[in-house]
Amino acid sequence: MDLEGWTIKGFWQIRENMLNKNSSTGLYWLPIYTDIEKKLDKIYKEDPVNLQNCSDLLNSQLNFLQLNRLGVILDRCFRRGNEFSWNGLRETKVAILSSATIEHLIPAIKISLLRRGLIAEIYTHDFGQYLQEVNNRESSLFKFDPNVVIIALDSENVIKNCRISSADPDQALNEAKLFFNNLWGRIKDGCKGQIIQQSIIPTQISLMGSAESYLIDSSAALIGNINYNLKNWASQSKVDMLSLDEHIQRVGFSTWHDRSLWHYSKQDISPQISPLYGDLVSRVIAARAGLTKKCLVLDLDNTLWGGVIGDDGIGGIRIGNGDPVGEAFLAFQKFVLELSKTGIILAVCSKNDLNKALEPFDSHPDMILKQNNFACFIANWDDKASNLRKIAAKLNIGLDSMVFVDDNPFERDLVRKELPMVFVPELPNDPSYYAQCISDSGCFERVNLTEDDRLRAKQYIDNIARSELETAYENIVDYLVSLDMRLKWGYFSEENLIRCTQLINKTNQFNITGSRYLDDEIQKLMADSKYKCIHFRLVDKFGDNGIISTVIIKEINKELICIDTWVMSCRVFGRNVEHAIFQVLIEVCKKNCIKKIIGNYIETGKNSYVAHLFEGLGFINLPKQNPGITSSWIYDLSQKNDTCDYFRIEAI
Amino acid sequence: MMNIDEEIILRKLSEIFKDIFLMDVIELHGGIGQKDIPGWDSFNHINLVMAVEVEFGIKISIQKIQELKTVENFVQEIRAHFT
Repeated sequence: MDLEGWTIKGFWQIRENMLNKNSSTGLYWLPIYTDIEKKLDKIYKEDPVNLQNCSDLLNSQLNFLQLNRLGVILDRCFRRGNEFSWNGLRETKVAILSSATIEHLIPAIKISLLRRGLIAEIYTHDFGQYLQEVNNRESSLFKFDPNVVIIALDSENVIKNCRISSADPDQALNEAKLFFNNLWGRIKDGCKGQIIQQSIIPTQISLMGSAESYLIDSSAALIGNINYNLKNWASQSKVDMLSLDEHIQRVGFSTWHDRSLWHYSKQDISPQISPLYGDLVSRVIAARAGLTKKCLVLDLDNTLWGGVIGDDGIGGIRIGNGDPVGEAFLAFQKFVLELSKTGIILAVCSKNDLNKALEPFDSHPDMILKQNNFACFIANWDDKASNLRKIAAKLNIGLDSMVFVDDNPFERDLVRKELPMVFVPELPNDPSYYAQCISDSGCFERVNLTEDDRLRAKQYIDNIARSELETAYENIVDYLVSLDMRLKWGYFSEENLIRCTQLINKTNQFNITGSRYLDDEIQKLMADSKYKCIHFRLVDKFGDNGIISTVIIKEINKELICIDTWVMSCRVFGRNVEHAIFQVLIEVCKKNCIKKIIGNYIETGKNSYVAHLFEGLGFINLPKQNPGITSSWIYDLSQKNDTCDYFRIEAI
Repeated sequence: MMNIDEEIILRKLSEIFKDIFLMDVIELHGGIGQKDIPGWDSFNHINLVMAVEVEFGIKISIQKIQELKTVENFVQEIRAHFT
């Protein structure tokens, strides 16, 4: 072989390229900055550290060493605590129960959570002591009072705990089920944190290869079986799963688990994969906290089809079967359409003349995506950051719930700088990998899917039709009458519990006290006679908006109730739904001989929309009593209230 | 088989040491050992081994992990993979 030119320098060049493009261990959908080391050095010397300077780093691709360094810097930030204003960030307490060493994974978990808007305090126990922690009601785990409990067990530990009495595989599986149910049960008894069960890393070595599953006492087969069943057991117990299987397959087992390091230091997960692992953990936590993305905004040229419609024309763009490039774009469109069926709202943001941009959607026979799949379609020559702001305003969603996909690095960079809260994945050059990239980035990760999620994309599209109707009416009341709105209300039940909890936890703007509740907590409230949990569904001539509001009222005494929680989806703002809901509350109260209603407003930084809600409903301001409450209001039921005639109110 | 320059190894190693031990400037030479660097504990030792493995594209055996106590040990180990 001719090795001329294969110099040492050349060798390092290749290695360097390999490392930079190393998509397997890194979060390759995040941008890489070339001067990360310099930035880290600079911030390290700062005192106090300015979190603003870290935000670039938080959103860039870091290897495990860089994560460790940033972790040290951020810990210094946290220790100083209140010198920083964490605007918009939410605090959470995470306990990790593990049979293996996990200290090396903590910086990655913390940083990934910060990237998703959560500041975490993390609790770990002494090595190997997780069962002692769980079995002792007075343990420091339970004193820590976590919001989230992650269970990360290694395969040896699981086998030790499940194969107690016999080699019979069915019995071992049964024992595994008992073991996990018992573990989850004890955690639930001791704290109210949401449990996340990590799948077991299959480190057991197969003895017979393909026929392994026939070997009745095979450890490898048992772990395979447990992993297969764990998802069902977890879902029955309302435990969230952190499934690593797919990622272990994609990246490769030996990158996830290093057998030398397992024996050397009992690390079940290798340090080099910590960036990805931390991100996976944070996705589940963020999804449970309602922080996932809702809307996918797409560029057109070279994103949804190959070529430039303005230059190449309808016959020149590459989309559809028969052409490899056209098929790659077709596959991406198919992925986008399926995403929208899971409730992701679609929008277009393109630099084009509007009529040119619409042409392929109207007249190209191979397009999978049609104009009516998009809730908002913007094509003009303004800068994309302004257009994204317009889309957010039109759909009435936060910029932080948007994902922007564009093949052009310049546009991506501009949007990242102008709107750092919008997630902009670093798209691969090859359109064959667009869908994979968005999927791998985990931006649309969810812990469950409700019927409302499935319908959401259509509901936003219906909303566009509503607002077009609105402009056709001069008088807002005429418009509201024309909508033919029906407000259906009922109490929380098993069927709508997930959606109601999800709505409470996702709603920021119309959330009078910033309430957040876990499924279990809601179930306790439902069983408590002092509480009434009511949900509202809005149907109009364009369709069913689904459950759009929930109210939890708490009885203080026989004549007085307090509105504990009131959230409403921003999709139905501006239609006076809150007045109709309040009318229902008044009826419920009157039926129960209640005389007065108290309402509290707690400012969260995101809910100024409802700062004057109670005033508008006819409440009277009370003197300030509790420093944690921004303003308190009271409503006397003997007073006359306005009715909203254009709603038909129906009890379910 | 290709020989790998000791100078390149040292340069790469000092970048890794700088990253792990959070030092400003480090004049790395073979004589530097675990005793000389505060923070070179068992936790960071693993990070060091892992970083060297990733950077040089090699796999260090469990027998060797324990024996790597000085910069010189690392240089020898890395060279052994390239000769």
